[in-house]
Amino acid sequence: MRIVDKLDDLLNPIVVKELRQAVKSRIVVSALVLFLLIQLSILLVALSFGERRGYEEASLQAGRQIFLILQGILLGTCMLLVPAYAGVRLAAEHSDTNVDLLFISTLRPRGIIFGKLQASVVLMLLIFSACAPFMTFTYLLRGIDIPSIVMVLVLDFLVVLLCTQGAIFFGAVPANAGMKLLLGLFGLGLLAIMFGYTTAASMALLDMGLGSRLDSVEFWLIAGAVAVAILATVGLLFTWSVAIVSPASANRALPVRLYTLAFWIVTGAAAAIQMRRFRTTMPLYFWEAVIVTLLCTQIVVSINEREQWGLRIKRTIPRRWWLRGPAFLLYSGAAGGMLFAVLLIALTLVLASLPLSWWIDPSTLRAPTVEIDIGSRTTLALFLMALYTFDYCMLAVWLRNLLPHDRIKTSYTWVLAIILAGLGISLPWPLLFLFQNEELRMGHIDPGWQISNPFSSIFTCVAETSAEAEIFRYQCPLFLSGLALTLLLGCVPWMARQMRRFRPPEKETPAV
Amino acid sequence: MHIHIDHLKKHYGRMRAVDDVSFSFSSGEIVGFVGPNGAGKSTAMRIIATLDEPTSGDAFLDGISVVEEPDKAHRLIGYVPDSLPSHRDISVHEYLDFFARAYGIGAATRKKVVESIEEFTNLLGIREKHLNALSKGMKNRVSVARALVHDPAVLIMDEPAAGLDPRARIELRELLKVLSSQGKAILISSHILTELAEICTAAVIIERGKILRAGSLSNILTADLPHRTVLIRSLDEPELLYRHLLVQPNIEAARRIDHTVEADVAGSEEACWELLEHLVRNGYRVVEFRQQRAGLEELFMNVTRGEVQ
Repeated sequence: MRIVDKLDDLLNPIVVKELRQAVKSRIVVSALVLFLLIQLSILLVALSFGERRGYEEASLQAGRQIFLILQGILLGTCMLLVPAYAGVRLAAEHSDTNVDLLFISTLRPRGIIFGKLQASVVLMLLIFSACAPFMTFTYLLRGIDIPSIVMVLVLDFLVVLLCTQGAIFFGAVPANAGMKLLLGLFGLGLLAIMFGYTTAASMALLDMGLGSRLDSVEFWLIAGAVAVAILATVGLLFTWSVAIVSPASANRALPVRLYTLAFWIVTGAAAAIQMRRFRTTMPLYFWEAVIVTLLCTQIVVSINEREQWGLRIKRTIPRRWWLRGPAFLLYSGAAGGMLFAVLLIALTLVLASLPLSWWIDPSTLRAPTVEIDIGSRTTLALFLMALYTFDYCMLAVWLRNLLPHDRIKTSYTWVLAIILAGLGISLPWPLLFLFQNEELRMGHIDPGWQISNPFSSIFTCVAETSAEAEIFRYQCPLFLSGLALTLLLGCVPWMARQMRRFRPPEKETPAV
Repeated sequence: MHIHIDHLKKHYGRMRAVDDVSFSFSSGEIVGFVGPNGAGKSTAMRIIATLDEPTSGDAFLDGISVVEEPDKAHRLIGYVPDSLPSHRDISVHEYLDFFARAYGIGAATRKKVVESIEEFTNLLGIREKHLNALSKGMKNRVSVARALVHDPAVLIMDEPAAGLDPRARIELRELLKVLSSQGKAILISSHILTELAEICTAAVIIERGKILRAGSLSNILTADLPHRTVLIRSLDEPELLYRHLLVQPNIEAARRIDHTVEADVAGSEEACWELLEHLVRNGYRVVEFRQQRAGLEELFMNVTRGEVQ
């Protein structure tokens, strides 16, 4: 067998197909040519203007200024072209006709998504390599050092990678054309925000000048943390995408939950290291906010999951009861998913609420009082957010179970939860108008009236300082916890039913 | 290769899309899967192709369960869906090459495999054309070629003839005959019953998820019929034979058609044999005695009620 054949066999089929399509695509080729022309034009214009200036007027910042323009174009092109190309193509192909057919080949869902990402990375490398000579040339124009150029390009690459994986995730979401358009617009908005932040970060990095900081441990810790955060998010989006394109009969949740667990541990450890090194608790609270938000999303997703398992999954359920318990939390399933998220949220909040001395010597903090105050407010806000998410989701599950059989599909429980939350947010206002009109006009309403409104309640508890707010700060979590417990009791039969069903098959199906 | 569908059920809430479906077929057979729209044909086919999971029951390909060992089953199944390939910016050859790669066919043999499939499905002339520039008939051929690229033992075809012009339909029919002669087991659903009857060796009629009739075509077309229609030609005066038949107790009706007489015989095939024996014993010089097979269309109309869930 020839080496070329061996190498060919190693290639992911999706990458080969995607790149073949990209080469033939007019959009990709035109965008690349246009991109190169713009870069060349900018450089020519800049050089021409530079020529006209006298020696005295020579700018010592010309390199940096031109680099920023070129970097803006590179980032804009990559962030728009590569993610849009990957996302739109997957969205178009993710139908009964195409992606399903891949599933009856030997390709696995992981291979399909990874192939899409790999193909996008090749496109990104192509664009980056096309712009590299122009960007390196800016070094000769002064005002910028090579390490800064490299670091900014690495940052840009990671951000484009994140955006591309995000676009692949959006493209994988099964939806009709209208919904896909809405998702596309939403994704475009996110891209614009990311573009803004990355450009600002690049400018800050260039202003700092990275050449002199390369030997500092702090610099590498921050750079490492940013890289870990971006790559961890890429991984999270990747596992979500794989779960979405996996067949409904597969154990979709298992890799997602395992990844979430790994994400929790790795990012938590990174936050702890940063906290000790930089003598600030901010990384811990940032980690806490990210994790709780992620797990609240997990709760909303979980309520739509299966409540019974097909043979394909049942066959893999452990027979030993002590292994079945953890497996219940990790396998696809509504109750297991809810419990997994709730347990991890509780653990996160407990860790963040531990006395500060457990994490760091408080005397070494620059502003211990401020940090403790920010920390307690963050934890309270996140605790309330988790309680509201749990309560509305469990209420939706409870109501769905109350309704006659199959009136609301399991997969649409999230819609019911959102409707309930919408009612909870909007209903207090007409009630206040009817019964507390005077107070409403004066702006002195009892915060208790707004208890069904998460936004208002969290704001009152965290930001307001009035006497009523002080009382409400205790009443609100108490009420929400009581409601959560009541709903949990109401849903015990629902959970118990799923736990009973979560068993391996009694005997193997006899082959014919 | 023996394919056994074993008590397959697929329920969507209260709707029973597939309700306890069981049947078997083997290599070299072409089984027509017939039923009105919404009868559960596509759902059953998707389950057999491992694209869906059954609520209960299973399908076995030489003992390999599609539910429990889908990965092994993938290599044995070629699935032609009811929709045609719609990838952009990719030629027919690249499309087939992609699926050959996806099925793990190594570089050393892939070129030959793809070329032989292109030749077999008559795609060589259009291999460099883009998929989205092809006609429906050509896309259909590409779809069949894609399903054959890994040389599966079982071919599952969901409405492959839908929307094809007469020439493309005839080409598809011939292709299926060749595939059957090569030993492939083929399960095909179609609404064009006359064509199915021409190529199928067996048929399964399904409605509201339940099997109404299943078996070899000759069996299901002759079983459960209220009467058999036989065509008789003798060297005697047709009028004489006609009158004689009319007075026989198990003859429901008789018609004279040119030099032959067509008679509806009440009862089973035994009654047909008894009639022939009776005619010969009474001195009729019978030179042709042929049982007219009911058409698949007629049977379909008789057994189905056109109900949907």
